[in-house]
Amino acid sequence: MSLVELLLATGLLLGSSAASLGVWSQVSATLVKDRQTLEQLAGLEAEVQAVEARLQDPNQDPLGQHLSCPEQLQRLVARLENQHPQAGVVRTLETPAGSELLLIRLRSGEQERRRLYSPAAFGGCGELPANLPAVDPALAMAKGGGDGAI
Amino acid sequence: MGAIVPRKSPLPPSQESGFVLPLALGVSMLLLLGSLSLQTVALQGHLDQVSQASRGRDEDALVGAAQRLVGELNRRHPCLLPLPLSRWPQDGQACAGLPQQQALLGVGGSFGGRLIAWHPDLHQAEALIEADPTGPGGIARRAAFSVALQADPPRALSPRLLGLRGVAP
Repeated sequence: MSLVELLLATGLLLGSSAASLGVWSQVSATLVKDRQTLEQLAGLEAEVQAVEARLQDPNQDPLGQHLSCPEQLQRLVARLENQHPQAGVVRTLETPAGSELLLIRLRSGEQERRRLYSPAAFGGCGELPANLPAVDPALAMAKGGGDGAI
Repeated sequence: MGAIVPRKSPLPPSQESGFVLPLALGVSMLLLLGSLSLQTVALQGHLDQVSQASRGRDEDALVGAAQRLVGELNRRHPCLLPLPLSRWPQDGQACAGLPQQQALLGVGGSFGGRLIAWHPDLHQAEALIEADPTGPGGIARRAAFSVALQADPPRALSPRLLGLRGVAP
């Protein structure tokens, strides 16, 4: 065993150990961050489900045709304002001007989810259009169906 | 006084001098390969997390498009609700002319989408909706929704996401 061989082997081991340690520390930092992100995503998904369930809850103030769209929008907002968001989730309710839509922003750390709801999609709102023709659903189905594009 | 006899090594000179370097090389290779495989596992986990976040954003866009579409149908064109999409141009003209129908099939805006299929039944309809692609080079994802139908007056209630249905061809 020569001195040169010993020095080379030592250098090789030191170099590979340092590189390996660098990779390990980088991987562990990535894993910690990914774990945090996954927890944030799971929290946001749970909040999305909670919001959905709250908006559809039949035990809340009823929604429907007898209300105007702005009134229905206010009821949707009230349903959510009475419910606390999940821990770690910041919930913001926005009603974009002139759109009669409810935009819900959910934020947890760097992650964000956005859900848009239309009050009219909860069974309609406001008066029926005057020119609404009577269409029998059974008759419509009997005439055949399928999809297609215009 | 005896002569000095040189001590003989049990191994040939080439083997005796060469075992430390190959050993160090082997250990180094093991360390580096172990690190690389660990990094691959971490990368896979990172990709899963990115994919999960992207899936959530896709679902949000599709749910928004479905809400807008059903809201628009309820408010302005409820006579289209019991009709399959293929019959909208003929039988749906009474409450929604072609321009309005075209608008329903390609709702614009930041939560825009397209209605690809509408299969109404007596009590519910299944809708296939495609969200507008987000960002440059974005993919237009599709999702199926179940919508409860009310007959009198014709109304659609709260679209419920059934699941993602791939991407636009």
